Amino acid sequence: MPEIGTISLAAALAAALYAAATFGMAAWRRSEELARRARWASVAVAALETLASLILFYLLGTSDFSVRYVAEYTSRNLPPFYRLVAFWGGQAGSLLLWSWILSLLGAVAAYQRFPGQPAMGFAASSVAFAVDVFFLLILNAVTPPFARLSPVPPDGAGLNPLLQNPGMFIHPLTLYVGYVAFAIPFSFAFGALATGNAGRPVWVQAVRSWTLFAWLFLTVGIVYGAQWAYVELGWGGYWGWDPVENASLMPWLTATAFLHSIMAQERRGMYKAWNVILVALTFLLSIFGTYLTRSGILSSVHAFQDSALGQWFFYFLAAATLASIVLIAARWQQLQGEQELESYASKEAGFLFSNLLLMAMAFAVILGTLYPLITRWLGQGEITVGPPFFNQVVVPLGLALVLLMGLCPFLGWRRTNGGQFKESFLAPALVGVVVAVGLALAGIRIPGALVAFAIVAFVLSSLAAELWREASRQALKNGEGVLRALGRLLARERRRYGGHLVHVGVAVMIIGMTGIGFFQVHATQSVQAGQAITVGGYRFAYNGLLEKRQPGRDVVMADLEVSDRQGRPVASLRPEKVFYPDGQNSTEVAIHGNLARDLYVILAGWQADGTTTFQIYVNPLVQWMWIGEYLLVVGTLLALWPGRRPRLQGSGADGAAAGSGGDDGGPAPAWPEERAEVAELMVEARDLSKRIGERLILQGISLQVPRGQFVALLGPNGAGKSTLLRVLSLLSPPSAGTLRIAGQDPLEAGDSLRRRLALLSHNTFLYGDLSARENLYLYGRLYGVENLQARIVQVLERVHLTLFQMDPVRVFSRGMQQRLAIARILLLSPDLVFLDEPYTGLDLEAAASLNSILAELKAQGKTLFLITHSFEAGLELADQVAVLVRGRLVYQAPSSGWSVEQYRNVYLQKAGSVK
Amino acid sequence: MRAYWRQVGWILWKELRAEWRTRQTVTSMAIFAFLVIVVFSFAFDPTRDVTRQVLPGILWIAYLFAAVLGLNRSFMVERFNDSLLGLLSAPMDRSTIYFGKAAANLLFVLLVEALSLPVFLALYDVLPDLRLEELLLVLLLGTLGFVEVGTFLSALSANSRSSELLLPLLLFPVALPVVIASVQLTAVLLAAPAAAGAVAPGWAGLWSLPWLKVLLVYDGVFLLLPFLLFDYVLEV
Repeated sequence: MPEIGTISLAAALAAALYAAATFGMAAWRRSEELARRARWASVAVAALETLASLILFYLLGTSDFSVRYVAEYTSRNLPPFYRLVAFWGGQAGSLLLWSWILSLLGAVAAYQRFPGQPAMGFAASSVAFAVDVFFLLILNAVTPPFARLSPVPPDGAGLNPLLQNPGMFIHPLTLYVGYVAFAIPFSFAFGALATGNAGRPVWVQAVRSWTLFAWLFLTVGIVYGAQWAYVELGWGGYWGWDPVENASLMPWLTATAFLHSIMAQERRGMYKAWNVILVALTFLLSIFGTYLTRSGILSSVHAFQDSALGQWFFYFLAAATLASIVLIAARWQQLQGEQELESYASKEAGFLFSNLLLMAMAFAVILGTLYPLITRWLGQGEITVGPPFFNQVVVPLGLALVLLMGLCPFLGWRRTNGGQFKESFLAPALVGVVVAVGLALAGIRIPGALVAFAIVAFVLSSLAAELWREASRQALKNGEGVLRALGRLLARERRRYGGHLVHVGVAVMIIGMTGIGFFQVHATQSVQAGQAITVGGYRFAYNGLLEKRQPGRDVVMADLEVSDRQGRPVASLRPEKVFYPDGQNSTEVAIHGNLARDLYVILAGWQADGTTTFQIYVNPLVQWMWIGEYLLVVGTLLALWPGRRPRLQGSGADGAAAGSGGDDGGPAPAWPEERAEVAELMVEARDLSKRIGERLILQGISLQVPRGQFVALLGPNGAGKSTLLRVLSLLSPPSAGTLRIAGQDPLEAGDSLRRRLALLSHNTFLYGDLSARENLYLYGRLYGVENLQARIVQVLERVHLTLFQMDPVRVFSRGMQQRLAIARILLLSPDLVFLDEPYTGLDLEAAASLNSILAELKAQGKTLFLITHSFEAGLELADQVAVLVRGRLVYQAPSSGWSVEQYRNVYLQKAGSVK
Repeated sequence: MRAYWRQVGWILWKELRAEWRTRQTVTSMAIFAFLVIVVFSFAFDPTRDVTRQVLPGILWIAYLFAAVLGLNRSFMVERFNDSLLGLLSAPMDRSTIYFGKAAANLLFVLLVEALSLPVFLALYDVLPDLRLEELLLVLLLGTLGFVEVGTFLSALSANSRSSELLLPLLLFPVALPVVIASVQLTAVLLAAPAAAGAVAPGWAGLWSLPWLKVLLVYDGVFLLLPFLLFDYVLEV
């Protein structure tokens, strides 16, 4: 079983490499065909990683201790739920989770279509799978999750007790999805930069929804993490500014900034470069965070320390950063904004300020997190800045940001109408002031708290006022009830009001943060059974210790009765200490909460004489934090919910064919019959077009060449003659249209069809370092010419090169080389010969001899197709003439027996008339 | 399938024949490799431990940079007279061109290695505790991986104007896993103090490291990729 896991991870690596390479190639070639293969590969990667993950789940579930990972992170007595959750309890598993999620998201993104700009999607998928290749490399080479353990231990080491909490299921999972999902917007940024689409609306659409998706998960992950810390870590708080916590906050701040300023790009084409930078920064920071906490260069509660792995992350990060900088610099021109900022009292400016605040917070967090490293480099030892630093810097910035949230609904695009602004701003501001004054009168004298509550009140009332104003305006306009108008407004403007709901959620969370931040009451006290502790107006009466044996753990709990100031019973609380057989123990906090406050009791320890020590916290308003979180989730979902979907789905026509003929109405003409009439067509082209990169070189080319005909194609330089020849001679597939050579479809006939045709060009295709004979021998072998040696002697004779057959072609004159090239054609004896300016550089005698050979070929019934822009040679043999100008056939006619003068006239007339 | 490999054989024949006539590629690669090895032997005192540590690096720098010289030429020669078009219009699967060229490049680089390895071993005094068979295997696998990718990218870059510059720029990042794995394995085999001790002697010890597997997987993947992609690389 583990072997299957190992194999599927190796196979996933190979498939991911293939997907990345093929998508890259597809983007480069703009080939839908390649992209289709790459999509299959992306599905294969996702399937293989899913298989590997299911196997790991299975091994964990069945406690197969022969696998090192299972033995290190689970044990027999672990409840089944935690056995499975141990999947992401350790290094290898969590990396597998990363990679697995990425492969799933990558496969989804691979199927997204971007009509008009398919290459951007291909390039993006290429980047996404390149990132996955990195993780798969680590999984295959550095931390294989399926590594065996020998001898097989009787029992495993078990899961860290701190991780045994229901939150353990949801917190890392959501956090990981958040981190990983940022790889997709990053890929799109990369893909758009690489294909020159950055700053275009197609990019904004793709990136915005993916970022919002990632942001949602990261937010939920962070808040659940805070909740987990609060409930499980048992120190009375929810956020300790630990490096791991900061690592998740940094990308969150930049992503939040992006989600705001992208709106300015969407509406007004502003801040393009800034947005690309933010997307790149967000992903790089999420990798950086992983690197910081994985490498062991910073110590943290939940870091996995492994310096070898750290190196990998470091190199990856360095490479990704460098590549981002180079790409952004290369496309800087394209990222210039379309509009200037017109006024500082506008939505655009609001986004700018909020971005500045968010970036300042992000910078402060980065600085604070890295401070120990910086001081170490400066030779001052590791100095850790604690929560005070962060609180002093980040909290004021955060409050300013929230204030801005309240102002934003009143700001208009471009510039704000001053009168209207005052009018709508006044009431919410008043509400804020009233709340502050009211609270101050009620006895709250902490300035910070008053400011915070005032701002929250301001934000909530301003959001409500805006909604109400808009609803009543609608109601007035449509003559319906305000509530009904409100409902329709919310349904229609989901994105806008989803965003507002997120802001409400944040404001509500601030209530909770302010409560616990400013009004927490705390006491640590030791008491005997029968005594009581009074904290924050609550009386905690201690009744003694109880002991309980459970499978795999011993639980000691203290029994406390809580009553309030009036002596009414509130709750009975039982904080626990849990002992595990391996000597580890953990603390289970007892919490009794309502919307006003949490009672939070920790059993710190006890002595033989029965003296028991408790840490007791009264945490006001904490629950609002979790309520705010749910509002935020609902708001984000509303904003994400597809409304009138901007057409992202492809119309079915693939990118390569889009834009070319094809859709000119009516059913395709029934041309099998047509073909039956004119037997033996050597070339049949219908509506061919060829696109190279962005340029359409050939357009709507239709032509037919019957067997034995000599067609001359004239055209000025740059008309697309050589391209047409390459398409017809099967060197390069057409972008659209149909082509048959000798009655066969090249795609069905395969490579062997090329045996029937050959190309004689002004370039001779000869190898200078091989002798004349060897050149012919090589091509004869490759074409499978029978009786080769004798034929070579024959054709060398025909072009009078027998004497020089052993000399390297390098020393031949131009005329001799061309003769040898002709000998090559004679040797291969194709049915259809394409001639690409074969007279170039030939003297009169050589040209005459080429002429006689061509006449000979024609007499043998070969079909010849000549392209030229000169009128000196070859034309007297032609049966048909065609003129190609700017990629279109502008003239086609039979021309047997024409004089050079006639050709010249037609050419001048046709090639001149288009200009 | 036999026809396919026969075509590959003819391409290989052409490469070897042309090289035999000029001996340009192998000569310049060999001289370069010699120079690197000799120059480094002046720079680092062979008796010192530090030198032991940088030996694997020196060896692979010499070989890989020499290989880039040859790889650069691999598709450049096809630009002369546009002969690649001649090959492309031949009735065969185009990946035969890749395999023929890759085989030729592999032979050239292996030849250069065979010529310069004795010099290297002698100059740096590593003969006493040499694990030759293993070293040869690592050289073979590492060179194979590098040449596979190199030939592929050489085709890709040959169409661009600054292909001599482009190839190394593309090649080294893409071939990084091969380079790292080869250097790590060589470090173990040359018993450089940094890596020695931890690994048991013999094949099993070597196999216990991830690097040999990385090499095998990489070599395998790039053996397959051209089958699928080479058509598109050459598309003109």
